[in-house]
Amino acid sequence: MDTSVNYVEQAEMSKVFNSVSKRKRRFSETNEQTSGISSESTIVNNVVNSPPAAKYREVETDYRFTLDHFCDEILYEIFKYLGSQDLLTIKRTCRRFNELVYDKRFWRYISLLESRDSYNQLLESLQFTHAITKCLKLRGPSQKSLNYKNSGEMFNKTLSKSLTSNCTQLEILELYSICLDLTLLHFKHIPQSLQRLVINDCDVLNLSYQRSSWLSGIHTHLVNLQELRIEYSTWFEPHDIMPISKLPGLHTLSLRGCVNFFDIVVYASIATIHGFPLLQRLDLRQIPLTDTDLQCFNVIETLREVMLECPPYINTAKGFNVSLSASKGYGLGESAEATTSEYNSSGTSSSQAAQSSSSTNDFWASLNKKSPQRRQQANPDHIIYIDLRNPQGALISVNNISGVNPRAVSMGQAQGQEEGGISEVNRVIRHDLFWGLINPLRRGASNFTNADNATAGNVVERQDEFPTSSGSVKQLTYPRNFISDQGLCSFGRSVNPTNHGRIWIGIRNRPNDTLIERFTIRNYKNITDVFLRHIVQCSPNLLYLDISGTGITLEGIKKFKESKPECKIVAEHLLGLNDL
Amino acid sequence: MPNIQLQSSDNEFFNIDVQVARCSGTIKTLLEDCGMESGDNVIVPLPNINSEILRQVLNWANYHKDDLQPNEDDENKKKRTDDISLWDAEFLKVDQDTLINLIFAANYLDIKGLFEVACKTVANMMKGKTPAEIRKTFNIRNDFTPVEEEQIRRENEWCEQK
Repeated sequence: MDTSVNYVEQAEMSKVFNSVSKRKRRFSETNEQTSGISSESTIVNNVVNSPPAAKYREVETDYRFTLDHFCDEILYEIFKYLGSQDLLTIKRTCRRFNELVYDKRFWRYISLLESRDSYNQLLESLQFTHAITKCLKLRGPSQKSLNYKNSGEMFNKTLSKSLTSNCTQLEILELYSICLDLTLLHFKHIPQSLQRLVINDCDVLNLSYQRSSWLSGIHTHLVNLQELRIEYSTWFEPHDIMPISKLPGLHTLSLRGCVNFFDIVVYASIATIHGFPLLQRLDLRQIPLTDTDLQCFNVIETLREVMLECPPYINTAKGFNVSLSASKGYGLGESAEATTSEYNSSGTSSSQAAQSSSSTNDFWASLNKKSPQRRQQANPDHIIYIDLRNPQGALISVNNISGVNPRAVSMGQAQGQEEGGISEVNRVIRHDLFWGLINPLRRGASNFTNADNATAGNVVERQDEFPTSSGSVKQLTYPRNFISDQGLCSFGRSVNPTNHGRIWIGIRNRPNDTLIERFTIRNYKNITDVFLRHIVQCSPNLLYLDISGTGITLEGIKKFKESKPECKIVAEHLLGLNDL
Repeated sequence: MPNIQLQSSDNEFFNIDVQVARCSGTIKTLLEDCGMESGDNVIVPLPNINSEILRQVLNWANYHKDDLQPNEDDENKKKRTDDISLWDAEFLKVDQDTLINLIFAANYLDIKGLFEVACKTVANMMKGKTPAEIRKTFNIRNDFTPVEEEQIRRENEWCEQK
């Protein structure tokens, strides 16, 4: 019996020893430089039998295993835990690692999402794309347009080539902060196997306004697409929803932060009736939608999750002197959100706030003149720059008003101050004329100036216009409001209608109940308990409801909970919620 | 449960439970193939694992002997390195030399769980470092020729210079 053990063992051993001795040869070659310093520590190591202190052992690398001793397969087992970024670093450490990194198995999932200054690393990573690459996530340089001429063009060409000839089985493509040149890179270059496409904060160059939409035809090409996220993209226009609605397998659509996606009824009403056969999740956060716009989506019977959030800023049309490029989910969201919520919380009685602040400062007093003439004759030299991309917070500068020197104030600082001294910035943003300046079309004016007034019809819409430096402003000729109970109560049909005084037309074309499981409605002041009374009747599957920052009261939630105890409710504006 | 004996490279003998020994795929196969699962006083020589490392490996195996065999990890889970259990993290707080020896031993003995967790620990030591830092940490010699270095540097910066 013993002999057989020995035989097997020896076979094993000899195999191992061979590989070890092979490595050792390599080791002695590469570590000649360290042998000199190790003599002292070897003595220490011999004397002390128990494990010596780490610092001695590190010096004493002599004839011990180091990383370089591992065979390629063990190194693979280590490196496989590294992300694309770290692999590109490993590639530069030494020749052996440089060769190892070309192993295709490392490049199934390529993810380079850290913000950087250039396209270099993205270009480098693209050389590793191959037929079994399933996922490609790339973030471009922080200043995408500035660097375009240098390397962006090359990147567009390379990406297009990779997509068409290398990663032909790609399933996930995510592009962040990249300049897309439609003449070089088009959705037609994307392999048909794609299931998830994210285009976030990307600029589009050479967009042809001749055609209906550069996305037209996407439904015949990307037939396997299940998830589409076009987020924080200013180029996304209402008509772009038409081709998207025809995608046969789409179950998740996000248009979050697409500031030019408004006035959509003409397109969205048709798109939602005839398209979106499987759509389950819909993210329309931070889009300046109205009730009418939102109502287009209530005909999609497959919806299980709807996400809405009042834009933290007010949308401005192109050309107006407010730089509100809705960029980068991080940083911007927080600072801008803080602005709005602060405004809303303290400005629910906005007239009071305006009065109290006006008396303190001559400058703001001059701004406070409420004469309509002044507004109509508003001087185009009044320019307010809001740079929400500033990581420190929204930087607001007011130029050339009433002979006052240009001033710049940082929101980040202002918010750090104590409550006692209301900063100038706070006074600016709480002032309704401020919102008049950056929101010349009164889009959603009810939210900021009449937050108390829940009934949409009572809001007096002012049609005065503010001259802009460019003529491309979308002109609105009818009153509009942000989403209120009216829009939300159109999802499903309650047995006991809660929204009185409305005429319902064509309501019998779909079932009473919705399939919605998760509803997120944030920062819409006009959403009240009426909505809760509605949704409790016609959303039997509801499991999650986020109503933070809405006008919904604790009382309303209490009653809602009685009928639907299983539904989790998030309402950050109500402190006593946890006690329920 | 019968015991078996493991013999380290420095001729120390470890008397251990077969259940613990079976954590090692190598030993398990050996016992099964030779029909010695019930036999007592079996001595398995492990001439390339020293007693110090073997003691640690057995310590690990003893703690994890009742673990379920990990099912084939799906692609998503694969790249995670933050799922190291507290006990394992504490166990692997050793100097680099020991860590690398543990990987070698775990690979040789085919102890999947230990091998994986040790590899993850090494990977974590590499994350977010520069090439120079990695060379320093792991005592790797930079064997690129100056020409190659220059080439790498240029590949990396060609965009700015253009």
